[in-house]
Amino acid sequence: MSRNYQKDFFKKFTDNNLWKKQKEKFKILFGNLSWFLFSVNSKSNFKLIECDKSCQEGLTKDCLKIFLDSGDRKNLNIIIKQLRCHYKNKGCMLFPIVRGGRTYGAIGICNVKKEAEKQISIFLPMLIDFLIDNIQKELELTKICNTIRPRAVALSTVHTLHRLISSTLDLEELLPRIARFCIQILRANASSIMLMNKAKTKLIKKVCVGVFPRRFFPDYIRVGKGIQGRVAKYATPMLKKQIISVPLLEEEVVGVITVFKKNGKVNFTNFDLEILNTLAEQVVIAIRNAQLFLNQEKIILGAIKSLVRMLEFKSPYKYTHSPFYVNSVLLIAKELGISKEELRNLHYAALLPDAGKFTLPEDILKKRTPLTKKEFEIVKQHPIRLAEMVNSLEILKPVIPIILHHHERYDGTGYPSRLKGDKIPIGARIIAVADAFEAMIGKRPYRKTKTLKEALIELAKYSGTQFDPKVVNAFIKLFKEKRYEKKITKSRD
Amino acid sequence: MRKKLPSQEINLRRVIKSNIDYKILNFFHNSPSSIDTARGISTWINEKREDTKKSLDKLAKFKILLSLKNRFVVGYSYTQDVNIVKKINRFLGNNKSNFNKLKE
Repeated sequence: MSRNYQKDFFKKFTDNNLWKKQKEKFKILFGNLSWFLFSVNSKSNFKLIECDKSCQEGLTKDCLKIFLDSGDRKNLNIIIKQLRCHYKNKGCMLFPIVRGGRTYGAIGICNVKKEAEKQISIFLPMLIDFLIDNIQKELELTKICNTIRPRAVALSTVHTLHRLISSTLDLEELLPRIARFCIQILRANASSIMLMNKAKTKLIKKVCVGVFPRRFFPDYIRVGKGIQGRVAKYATPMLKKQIISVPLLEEEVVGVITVFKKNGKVNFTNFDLEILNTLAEQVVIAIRNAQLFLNQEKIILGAIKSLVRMLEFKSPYKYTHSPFYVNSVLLIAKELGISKEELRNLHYAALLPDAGKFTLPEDILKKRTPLTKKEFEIVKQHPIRLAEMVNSLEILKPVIPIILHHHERYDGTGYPSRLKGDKIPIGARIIAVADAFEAMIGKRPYRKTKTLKEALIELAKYSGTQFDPKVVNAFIKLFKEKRYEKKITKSRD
Repeated sequence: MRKKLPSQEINLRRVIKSNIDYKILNFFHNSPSSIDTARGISTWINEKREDTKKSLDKLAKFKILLSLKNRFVVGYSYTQDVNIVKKINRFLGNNKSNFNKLKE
């Protein structure tokens, strides 16, 4: 029996409410008994755990001596000892606390009247048996709880983490989030995620969070070199006192997560390694999904850009826009704080808005004189045509409202649906401003080019009628940053 | 004027008012690595989910907990601030009996 178990056993024993109550009842039934509780150590010696305060006077010193002298393990296993007391006609009794060959200790009672001895020797062993049963069960439960609870909490944590990380497909958002979670869960100082390059020769640092020495988290590391390199090469985790490194393993190693230095002066343990391993299994799925999504995005963007290039070859900037225009659209959108998903859709839409003109007759597009009413009606159809073309591509469906309404005016006099104010999608309102601005500062054979300042004044003039004032203000604000003006001048050239 | 650190600003006696607050604090103090949702934590502390959520948000407001959000889930985890943790350790030691007696 371990010393800790014995200690816990007697702690439970002395705290046990039933034991306390029964002692009181014994006192009522059999007079003012004095109680002693002893534990027995491996050398069969008694150690006093508890005794009644009333017994700590002269009487008990002798009684205690009697009990301590009688502390013999061999006898304790079998019998209840009736001891002689030096005082009056009363005796002492010693009851062993024994279960299944295991001796825990003994209960001593002093001040026992002769006529009560028989009854006490019947009832007390029953009570002791019942208490041992209960305490053993309690200790077993505590042990199970202490073993299982941290694991259950860890499991619940991993489950929550899975839910938290699997909702994003943006790798740039996902990786720092995972690194921060690692720090949080392992109570560490720093964490890094390195991903394998295409050639599978190097690990490239993608994210590093926290306070760390640079040598542990280099920008890149060759496979086979250093801690992370070896973890990647052999696809096995590494646990050191101050560092844990775990491979992100799918069919092959995708990357490595490393966590550095636990908070407080504590080392990492196998339990930490177990948690990080479980976490890595979840993380690798999330990273793979994000990478697949990124590839899918690249394919879509590539396809749209190919279409734009094709139209450019036919007639530059008639159906498409300059790169600066796309940049302007994205910068305004960021300034207005639109979501990442909307930003992605806006990017697709910004590449395509006038591609529908491809379906219009050449003579209308080339015409230098003002259009007739009939011709203008035909021109108004180009957003609808493009929307019809794009409609069959499921991934571009969210882009359709932007394409369809980018010629609407804020006051409701635009086309094709005469939408007004906030009913026009925000993406379409942004494109309208960037489109007009580009047209004003761009070189056209049929009119004079405006300076940046003149174009901005013109935008401000029609803010609230043709354009959304919020968008115009955001655009003007961007110009106050000199870097942006330089960018535009450069792309114009 | 020098800005106060979060650990200096927190007065735990004013923040931890109910048994649920205390149970949550105790749970995270004993399982500092845990990240869990309101539902999960309400199971651990054996309280109603709505009440637990309110307490969790309050504790997150006072930076005792960190709230980790995405579009669908809000997870809560324990503060990493060592000074706040020390304060909580003292607070839990001093107020154990008070909160066991306290009834909602």
